[in-house]
Amino acid sequence: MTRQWGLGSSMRDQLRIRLNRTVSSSLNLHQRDILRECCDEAFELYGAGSRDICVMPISTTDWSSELRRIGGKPVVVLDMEQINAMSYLVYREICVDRPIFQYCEYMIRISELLAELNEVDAALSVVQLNHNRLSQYARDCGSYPGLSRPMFFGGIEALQIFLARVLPSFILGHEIGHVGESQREIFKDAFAAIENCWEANQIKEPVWGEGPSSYRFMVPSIRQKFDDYGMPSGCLIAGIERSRVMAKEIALCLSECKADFFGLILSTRLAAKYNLPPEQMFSMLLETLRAIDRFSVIRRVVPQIPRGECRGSVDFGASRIACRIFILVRVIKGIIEKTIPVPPETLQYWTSNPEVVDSMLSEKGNKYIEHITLANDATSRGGVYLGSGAPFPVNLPTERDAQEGDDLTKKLMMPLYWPFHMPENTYKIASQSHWNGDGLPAGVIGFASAIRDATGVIMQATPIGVECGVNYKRKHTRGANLLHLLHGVRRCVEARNLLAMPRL
Amino acid sequence: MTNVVIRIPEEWSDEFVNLWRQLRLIDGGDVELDLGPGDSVEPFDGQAFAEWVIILSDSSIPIMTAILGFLVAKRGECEISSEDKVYKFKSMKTSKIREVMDIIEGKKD
Repeated sequence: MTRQWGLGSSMRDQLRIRLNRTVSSSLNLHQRDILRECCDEAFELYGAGSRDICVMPISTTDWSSELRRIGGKPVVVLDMEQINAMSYLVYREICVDRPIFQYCEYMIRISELLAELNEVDAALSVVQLNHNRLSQYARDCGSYPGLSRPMFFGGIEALQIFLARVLPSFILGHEIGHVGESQREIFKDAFAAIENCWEANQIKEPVWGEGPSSYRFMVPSIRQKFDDYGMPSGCLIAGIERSRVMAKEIALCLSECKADFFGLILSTRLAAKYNLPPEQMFSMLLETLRAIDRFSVIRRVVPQIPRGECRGSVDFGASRIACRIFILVRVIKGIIEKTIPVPPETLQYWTSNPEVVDSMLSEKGNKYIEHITLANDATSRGGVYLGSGAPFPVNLPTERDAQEGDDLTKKLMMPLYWPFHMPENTYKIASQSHWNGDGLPAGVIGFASAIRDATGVIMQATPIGVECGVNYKRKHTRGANLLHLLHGVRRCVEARNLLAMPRL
Repeated sequence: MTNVVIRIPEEWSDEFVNLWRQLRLIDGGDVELDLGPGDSVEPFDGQAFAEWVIILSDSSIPIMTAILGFLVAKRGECEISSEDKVYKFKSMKTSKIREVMDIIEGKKD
């Protein structure tokens, strides 16, 4: 028997007006079956109330799932392309793929976003540069037209289970969680524990010795300004303006953390069903959230980049993902220590291998997790700055300089310069062809370089040639399908051959 | 019929509704033009929005053009859709205001 998705014709009309998205691909039967399984598990877990929620599966170039309340009625719009986007990145991160392959994926997503904004020329330029970089990589490795992809395949079966079954359930559980949050009695104690965790950790200890304390979760937003010639001309830090709505922001952020708790419970159920070991589940879940953070940055930043060499500014906002990861890790710890009550099967799952999970939840591990997430903010700012054509800053203030300043300087100066405390080649994918796992993770390099290159294209600061006779703009004027062109590089990566580009 | 979908970061939604109401009063429009609380949109990456669908009419166009500055200041989004085309303005900029106004004027029935 086929279960209905719960949408009537009136709701479909309402959604059609609101969701002006481009279809990426049609959903196949297998994907629909997986979603049905997730929905059935969710409804069984959360009871009768959850059956009022409509689920609408789509696949669009917006790659964004969301919960909507239309006239009070909740609708989960589940974008399978978002699951695909995260799958590509989690797969590449876990398999320790080289940075260029993560770079390619980010560039494809940026080009899709530009196409969504009707900026087809810029989208094709991004994809052309993407192709050129990949060609350069193949030549650097001496494998042209083949693509050398040394990878680590340990745990690949677990990864496939996670990507196919567990990841959709985490996203669905999260979105349903936003509705279930109002039914507080179900997980009342767990929510109280999350709020306590927030209270206990919201003040961050001084970064240097006797320095000032700061808020951990509610960080100020940094805005990069550009002058009339599109060159960086200083930064603004917005704190006072946001203080007016701080209470609302905190409530929204806490709501995300609580929704993640629902996502965790549902995805744990699927992980247990398919025998996914908890330590792998843990690391893949964190990778997923980091991927979401990077996509979120792309979505925030790309539309703001000045078009052409002109005046403008880019507000980098403040990521809520860092806070979500911080709380989620502590929620898992609370489940293992039995301070957060959960259904018996969830408890049994997370306590089945406590030593391994415990070591991943150590203080050292927590700091690493926090730093990697903060790196997304830093690298996006650095990428936009350098992409405008500005040189890499030298003679940066050191920690000693910051320590000698007053409290405000200590708080603000170092975060401003974080992007440039990373090596310059973090932002240069062309210099990473022989990356062997040392130094910064591939994801950080791929992301930083993609933001830099895309900014260069959008601000028209980067000249783009045509490599190997593949000219995307010409193909498009000759009638090739735009989406096929934007996704062409991915086919080459998957086939490990630059000549695998389909005839368009 | 031309629709304009407006999205404002959730934390600024109350201010937006108040501003719209003030503009409607100054313009002498009917109370029916006022906005309700808006539909909530909570994307998975955590940036929540409040959303309104506004049907362009002689009464709503003046208010619509007047609130464009608010969209820029609070990083709101606007999508103008008619039968033939959709214009998307994510993260509105001051330089885009004239373009939006031209589209709105062009779509006036």
